[in-house]
Amino acid sequence: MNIPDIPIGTLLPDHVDPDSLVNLPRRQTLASRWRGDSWSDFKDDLGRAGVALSENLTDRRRFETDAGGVAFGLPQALVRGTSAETVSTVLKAAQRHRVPVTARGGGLTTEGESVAYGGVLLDMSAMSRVVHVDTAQMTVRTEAGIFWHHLAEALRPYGLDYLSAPLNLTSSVGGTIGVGGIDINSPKFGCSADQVVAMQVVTPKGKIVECSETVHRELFERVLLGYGQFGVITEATLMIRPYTPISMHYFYYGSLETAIEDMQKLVVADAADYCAILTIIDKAINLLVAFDTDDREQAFFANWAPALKGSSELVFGMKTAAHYALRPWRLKEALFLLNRRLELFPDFYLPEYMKDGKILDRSVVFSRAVWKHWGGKQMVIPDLATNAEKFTEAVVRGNKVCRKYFPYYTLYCVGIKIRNGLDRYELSSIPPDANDFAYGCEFEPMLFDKIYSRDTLQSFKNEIYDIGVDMKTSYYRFGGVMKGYIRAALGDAVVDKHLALKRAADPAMILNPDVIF
Amino acid sequence: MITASTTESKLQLGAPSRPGYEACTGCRVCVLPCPVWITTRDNALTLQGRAISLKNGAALTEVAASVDACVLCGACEPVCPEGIDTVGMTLDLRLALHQDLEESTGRGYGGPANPLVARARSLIDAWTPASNNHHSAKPLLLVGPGYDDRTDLIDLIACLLGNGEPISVAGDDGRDLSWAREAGIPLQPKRVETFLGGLNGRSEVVLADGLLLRELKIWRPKISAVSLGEALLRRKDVRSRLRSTDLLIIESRAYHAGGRRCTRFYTKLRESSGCETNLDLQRTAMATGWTALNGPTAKGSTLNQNDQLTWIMRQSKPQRIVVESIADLQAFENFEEAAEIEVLHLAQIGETSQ
Repeated sequence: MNIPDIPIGTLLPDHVDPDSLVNLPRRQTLASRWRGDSWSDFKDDLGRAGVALSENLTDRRRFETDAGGVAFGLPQALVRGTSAETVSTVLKAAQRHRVPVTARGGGLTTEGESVAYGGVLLDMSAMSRVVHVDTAQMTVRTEAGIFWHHLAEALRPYGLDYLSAPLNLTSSVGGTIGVGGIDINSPKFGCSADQVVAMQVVTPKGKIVECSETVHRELFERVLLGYGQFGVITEATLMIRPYTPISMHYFYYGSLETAIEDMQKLVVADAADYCAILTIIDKAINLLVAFDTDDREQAFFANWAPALKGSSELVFGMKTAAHYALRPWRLKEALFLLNRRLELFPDFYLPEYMKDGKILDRSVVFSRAVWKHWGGKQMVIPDLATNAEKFTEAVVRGNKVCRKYFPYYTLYCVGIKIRNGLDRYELSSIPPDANDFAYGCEFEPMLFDKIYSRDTLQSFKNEIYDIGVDMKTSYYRFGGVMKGYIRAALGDAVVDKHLALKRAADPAMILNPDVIF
Repeated sequence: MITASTTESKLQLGAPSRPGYEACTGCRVCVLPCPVWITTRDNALTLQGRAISLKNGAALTEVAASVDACVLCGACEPVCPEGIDTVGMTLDLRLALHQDLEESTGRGYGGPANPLVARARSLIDAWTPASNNHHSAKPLLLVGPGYDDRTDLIDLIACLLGNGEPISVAGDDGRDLSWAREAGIPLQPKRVETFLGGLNGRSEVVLADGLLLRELKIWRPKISAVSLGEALLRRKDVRSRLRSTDLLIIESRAYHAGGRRCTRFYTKLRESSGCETNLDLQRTAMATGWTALNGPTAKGSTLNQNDQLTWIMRQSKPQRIVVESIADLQAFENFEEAAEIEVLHLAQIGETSQ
């Protein structure tokens, strides 16, 4: 896509079309959009403070879209965040001159949340050093722009690992804990944000604040899962744990409902250290369980495995072969299934990542497989998050939408442990009616090399999110171009409360505009 | 895709069947093992940075600094989910930059101002290849420039690889071709053909230069070529002398040129010897950044080599650092934080077996 360099002062069309969301009129909460006002004064301020700012077009264009690839925009300038002080200087000047600032880590948002439409793009990925590993307290202090992969690299020489992180090597710590973060061990550890012990945050007014559950708790709770509205995370202290290779097993299902029922049983019972559903097609569903220790594995097979309704791969393979033998007109689907099995599964058992039947460095194994088999130019991953009771219906309805739009897609379902009553979940994907556990499902079409129009992809997302509105539940990726759903999903009371908090914390409304408000 | 076809040679200088920068999705997985990223934290200088810039319409000259910064370690290649020929892409970009500037200014890429090119040119001018007059089917050893002052090591390696009877050491080790390729200087087809002619009939070619190994496999896909490190480690008497307290520094260019075969070989080696290695969690070999053109005496390296060695060492406290490459021997000998640690070439740990 070729985006022209727009001169300062030109007001671009709103990137969210007013009619883009069916039955959901877009409500603009920002009083006005930035027109380049005070740009030179802002630049002068930064120059005096010694903060480098690049207006080079090539530099800026590297950030013109995110992993979603549907939202495109250019910042007026790029600033590399190199310290909390640099970030503070930028935010103070931005607040003074009302210049929008978009913070970006790994850029793995899907709805343009980390795309800047004018103003400054604050690239946080340079703040990526591990500050301290505390083996006594079992915590790590790290700069927040670090990729989870580099954090794992830094912890491994100590024989340690983080608790949970997205199955993506290039997500940043700050970006993840700012929105939640889901792993296949989320039934045990909750979302990635829940492993945070403390943070250094630069507020929208530029104040550098250390916060935790005991110090500046209000800020701590607002910044975690706060979609970048209440501060830029510059450092974080995270809980860590001993690193363990994992043993992994699959159970196969032909019915989504049955697989979900079994998964929920395991989640509630804490029967496995890792538990998730991944579908190949909606008639070939894979319930994955994995274990950190032999004891847990043995206990699972003694107490839980016999009661599961899923089959072994051999039995499921035979049933599936018989199913397609009687339905030769579905040969294409059968071949896809077979091909997917042959291509995908070996990547989870590469010899260099196996030892004594266990998977080493599972985050690398999973992440590489995710990028190789599901990655591409556009990540289209609308999702729904519900309480336990609504989950099956949400997934089944979402599955129908997927089938309507795409020949092949994957559903990824996981349980998420909740620490009930925390303020951090208020403006997040965790639905307010969930207790102890929430459940999330990502609906990911496989685009392969086929080109889909942006309208098609957005319509697909809308239909998934419409299910959420109808079922009065939540989403993970409701920001950016999907922000029209926020009021419908969270309700006016919650949004207005947070809008008031935002206005108090960020009077010029400059930090991460166009994400939520 | 930028290719190197303008040399008017029938030789395959790149790997055009594989995708180039246009296939980059911006996932940044290649950034994770990149030594330039690790030491500069500057995305613009990484493969992903230049690929996305070019994809978004940047001119070649706008990514020149990024193209120059690359140490061609190849760690980005096996991890790229799109299968982009990452090293080939960067080499071809250097070549294209050179040719662009030559056409527009009458001078080569960067001219004398580019330290990489200037150093390559001075080395090429000063060196005259001797012919490989050893007509034999025996393996041939191509040591490269780093060993010129270490004839003791050459003798030791040749002896080890020949089971006590030294194998031949090539008079024409193709170093000028490697320097030229690294610096983006166009190769002369006749010179390449002469070099390849000297390898005819050999049962195996052992190369100390990982970049030349990579290129050789493209020029002569069927040739039996192996890196010096792997050739030595195939020997049981060398392998058995690795200790669990050693840190083995695998030469990154050769390792990545070897693909998954090398990954499996070194994974097994690590398991059997118990030694630490410079393999990261993605099983790529972390580069020291030292090369013939980009070493401690060269100017203009973007990569902070001390930072990179610190990252490689991290919590490691080995009793010995064992290296496959002569450049890495220099790197660790110059590294203050490893001053108390014995640094050995891989051939030296097998020395007593002779």
